Amino acid sequence: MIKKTFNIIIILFFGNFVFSQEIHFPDTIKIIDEVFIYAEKKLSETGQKINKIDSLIIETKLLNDVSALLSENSSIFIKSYGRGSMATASFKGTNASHTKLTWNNIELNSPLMGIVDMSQIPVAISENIKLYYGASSLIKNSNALGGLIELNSTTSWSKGVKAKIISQLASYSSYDNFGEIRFGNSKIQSVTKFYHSTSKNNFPFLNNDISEQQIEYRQNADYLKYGFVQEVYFKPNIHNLFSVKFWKQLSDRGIPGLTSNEAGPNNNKNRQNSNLNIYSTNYTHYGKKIRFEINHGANFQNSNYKSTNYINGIGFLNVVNAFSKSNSIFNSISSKYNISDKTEFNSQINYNFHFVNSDESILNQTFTAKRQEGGLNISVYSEILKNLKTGILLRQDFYDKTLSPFIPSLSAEYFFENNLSVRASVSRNYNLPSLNDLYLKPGGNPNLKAEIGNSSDIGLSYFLNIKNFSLKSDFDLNFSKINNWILWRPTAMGYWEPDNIEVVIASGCETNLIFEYKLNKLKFKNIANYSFTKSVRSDENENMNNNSLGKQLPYIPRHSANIFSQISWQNFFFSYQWTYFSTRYTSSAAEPGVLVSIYPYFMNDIGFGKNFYFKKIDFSLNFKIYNLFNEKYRSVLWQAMPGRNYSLQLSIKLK
Amino acid sequence: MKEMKIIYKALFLFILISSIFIFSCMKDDFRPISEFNTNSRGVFIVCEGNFMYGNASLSYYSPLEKKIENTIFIRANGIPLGDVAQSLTIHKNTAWIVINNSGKVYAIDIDNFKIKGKITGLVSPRYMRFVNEQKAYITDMYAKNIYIVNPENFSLIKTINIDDASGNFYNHSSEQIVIYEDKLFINTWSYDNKILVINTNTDELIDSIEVFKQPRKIIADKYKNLWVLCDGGGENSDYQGDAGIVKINMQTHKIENSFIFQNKENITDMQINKTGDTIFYVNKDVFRFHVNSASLPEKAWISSGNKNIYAIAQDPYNYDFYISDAVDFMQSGMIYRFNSNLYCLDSFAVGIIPNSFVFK
Repeated sequence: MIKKTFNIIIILFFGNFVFSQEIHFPDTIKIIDEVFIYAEKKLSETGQKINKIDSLIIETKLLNDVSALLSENSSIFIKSYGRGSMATASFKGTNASHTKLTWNNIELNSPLMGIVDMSQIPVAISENIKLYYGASSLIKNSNALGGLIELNSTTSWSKGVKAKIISQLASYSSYDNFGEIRFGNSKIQSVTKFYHSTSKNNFPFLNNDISEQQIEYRQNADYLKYGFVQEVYFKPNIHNLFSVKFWKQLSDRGIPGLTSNEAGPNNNKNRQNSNLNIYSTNYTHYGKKIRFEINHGANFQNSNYKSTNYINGIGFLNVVNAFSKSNSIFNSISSKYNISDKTEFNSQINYNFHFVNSDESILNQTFTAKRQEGGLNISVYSEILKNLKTGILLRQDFYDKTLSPFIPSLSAEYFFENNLSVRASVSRNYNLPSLNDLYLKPGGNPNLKAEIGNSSDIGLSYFLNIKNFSLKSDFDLNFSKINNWILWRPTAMGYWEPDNIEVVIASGCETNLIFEYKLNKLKFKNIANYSFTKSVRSDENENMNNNSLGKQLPYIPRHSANIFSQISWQNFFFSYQWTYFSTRYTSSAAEPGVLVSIYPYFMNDIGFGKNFYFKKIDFSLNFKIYNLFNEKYRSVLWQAMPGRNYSLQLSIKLK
Repeated sequence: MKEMKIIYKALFLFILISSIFIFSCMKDDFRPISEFNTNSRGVFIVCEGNFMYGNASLSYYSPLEKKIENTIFIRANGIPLGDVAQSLTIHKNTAWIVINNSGKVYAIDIDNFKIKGKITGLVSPRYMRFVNEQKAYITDMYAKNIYIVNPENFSLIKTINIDDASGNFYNHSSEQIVIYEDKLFINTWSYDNKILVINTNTDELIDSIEVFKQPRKIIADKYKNLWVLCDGGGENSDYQGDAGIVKINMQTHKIENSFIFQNKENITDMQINKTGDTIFYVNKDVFRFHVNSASLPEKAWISSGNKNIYAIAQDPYNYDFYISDAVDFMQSGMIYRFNSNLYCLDSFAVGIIPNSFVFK
């Protein structure tokens, strides 16, 4: 009885979504029969929390951006200003600049801003999405105090041509299209992807933030995004693999004003367009005991932000016209040497170079800056006793002519006989100020220091894998102390300025659960995430009126959760997505009230459809209803959100 | 079989727990309406809030009762004030609140705070000043025009062009207004260094006077002089220079004196007493000097300590002195009320970034 109860507790509260397991599904929305496979955790992932987004989820969200994918299917908090608008991600109570995003080893965070706008990253550009929580990101990169999101492309080596087309028609004149062609043989493969996404996004809403409350249509919220990815893989033999990948994207969008704005349709019109060009090259050698890898790539980003008003006697005039450019080059060499079956040694050297230029032409505020950064990373992982694996990672980075803080990380994991494992890790990490933090005019603070975080995690993981049922669950407790946290605050001069605040402590727990089962012809899949996050300032207060000490940082919810459920019967499927965030505060002192806090967020979306399978072609029709209960709600203060809305998606796959 | 039983139990419990959360609905802002009737004297405190946060608010303090009412606008009207409340002007029984980044001016009753009307369609309004019942001026940061409005019907009459056509720094912006005889004196704060002079009969720009960079506040003394507080631009900005105070003869438009601050830190406000002979200004601390002084005071009148003093004012009825602490500019500000001997009579919290006091 005790054992049963214990198992139930483990299942319910120590849940983990996906993580290191790999559940293999075909490319279409179809659950395979009966067999569920969990891959063994890699030795280099010992003691770390690393989640892999389920391929079924990726498949159903190919036309979405990464922010929608993560907010609904992970414990990462996404702060979104609405459909097509800015969205940033934060892990475990840290902030957006502590979250790094890579695509095929190329960092997408702008060296200028330090953050990534997740709404601009389509899910379709990658097949594998992995989330490295906290210290686990050190395997890949430094500077990710919160965590790292890794988007990677893959290919199969089958002969012939495969193609996929997905088209979606949605509310508010929204059209999304994606196409993919894969061809090649066992030695060479080409993958080409195109996507195009556009929306007027002029949804109706009741504006009760002005004195004549009325139904309005959202203005200046339209967006357009299109691009393509070209990948070529060459495998002359089983020991060597070369790949070249290129991604180009253009985007343009309006930035809608607050609902309280009554300046008129011709004033305060803000627009942003951007151009992204990224290439990534890779050579990997697979030896008997050694794997050797060389990566080189670059990220070129340009963007223009304009704010326009109609000026009497002049016409339309820009009040802000800001151009920003960032060019980054990334290089790394890494190796993995298997000393024995139970011990491996990893090393990595990297060198990156960044050049940025920011030019605001109306107020003539310009700066250019360069940064070199690099480092050496070595790690050893070993199963030192039966079922006990340990790891040590040491990293020393530099930037320009300065040595970064030395980074050690220790981890251990013990695997019990009954599929239960216990893990723990302690580590140090740091994050450099972005070049905007240092040099933006006006407001940049050249005296900023690097943020330094010390973190520790302990976790439990459990899985069960029997004939018609599989389950994986995880529970994680985390604690981080971050010194010199960089915080942008308004000043008496009217602009915002960053400063280091002494200490922020982010702590909490996360629990995840995934299970799949089959009852006759019915198949179920459920994924659930819950996290509790306490992220508070804990330094000394100089001003006795400052009530921010010990208060939750702005826009970080204490509680967040989501559930994804899918039921399929023969070729029909039905899915349910539920997302929740608790109250978010917008003032530094976490004060209550409608002007400075946002009520809890609950969102319900459903989808249903059918797959059609033929000899050479498969079809899938998928109809989705978002905001099922047509709720009037906000995600960010004074930004309107759409009511119930719909999409119809058709997928065609040539086998 | 045992394992299957456990699984089904787990599944059942999971669905049970899930069903508690699923279908939960959001409660959009609940904004109960309060009735106010403040017919005794008091002071409005304008809390500008954070740019693009829409958290501007209005507070009302009754000095006799020592009672503070916060967020009175949304409580009286059920709607938010908007984004960045820049200023408030009382004319007769109406308070006109200029909402900078919402492009509008709300008119509310000074006793019950209910909305009487609004002027909308403005670009980036800053301050409002009345000439008579049918004519008022509204300045604007980005419109390159000064609006002339009819407050009786909340309509725009015409605009006065103040574009300097130079293409530099988007000039001119316009800020506070001082009326002297048939002239308006207007400071141009944002990336500018001018005092504009406008003839109220012709509504034309007739002169501009160069001062230190970023003239932030202006006041008039009893000797027909205009005093200009210049913050000198931000430290991390390409547009910066000397900060200080400039004295201008409003009849001749000539600069009569100028004082450069040795230290510039948190230069935010300048006010004058009721009799027009003593000036108070903030340069981190609060300083006080007589308008006939040959130099600025070296010693602070009120030391700020670790506070971020953002606004000051003297009550014209009893000479009590008010200062606001904006704290970290991202949470409720704090107000201190002193008597003329600088004895603290009261202190209380208000909204985010209290930027001005307007006495009823």
